[in-house]
Amino acid sequence: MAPISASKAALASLSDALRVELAAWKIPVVVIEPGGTQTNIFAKADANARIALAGADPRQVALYEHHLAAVAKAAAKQKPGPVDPVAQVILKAVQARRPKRRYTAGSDARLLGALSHLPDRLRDRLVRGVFGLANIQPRA
Amino acid sequence: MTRLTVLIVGATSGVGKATARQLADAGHRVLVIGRDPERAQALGHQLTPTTGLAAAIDISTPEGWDLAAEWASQRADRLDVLINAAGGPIGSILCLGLGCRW
Repeated sequence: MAPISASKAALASLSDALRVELAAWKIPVVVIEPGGTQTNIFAKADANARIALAGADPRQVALYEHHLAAVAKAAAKQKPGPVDPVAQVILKAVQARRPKRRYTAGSDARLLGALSHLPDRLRDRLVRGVFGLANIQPRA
Repeated sequence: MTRLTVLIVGATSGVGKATARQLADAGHRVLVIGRDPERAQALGHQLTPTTGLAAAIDISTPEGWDLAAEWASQRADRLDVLINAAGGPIGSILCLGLGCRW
């Protein structure tokens, strides 16, 4: 979760800075934040995870054994939304005379966006719950 | 409504592809770029020079972006919007201390 979280934070931060840089040309910069969406991303992530795990130090994999099982179980329960509503939000942003800086697409994206405004401790607990990591004990 | 010329990268699958279709349906001109040559060609067949064009370019390198910019600027006298829908996972979702990348 650390790499994807860092990459998304970087995307938001890069866009915010780019908006300031491009303001002189009146070029708006808009970030669209979809929730889980039915694309190939999950299959690709799965395949890549298998390769990463196969090439990893077995001791490291063993340390994460319970995490991996819990995240896989939680992921199987999540239902990603269709792509068309996300595309509709992008179309709306493209056609807007004065687009907003951020658009969310999908109810889970709105929910996760709201999480970032919660106190850290509560947010961490909710995120751990969403990913099935609430009661994970490391393997002895 | 103004007809816009839109460059979409990462447009041969997923959200990018759906967005390209909706923009074209709404009457905008779409220049679409994807990494996969076969999918780019298939998408190109659904477009006419008026509704848009497709090309297979890998924009994961700075050279790829130069190529994409050159391709687009030769095919449109102006660009109104850039949509970046490219990207995806390289490693596992959990870090595992494995040096995974996104």
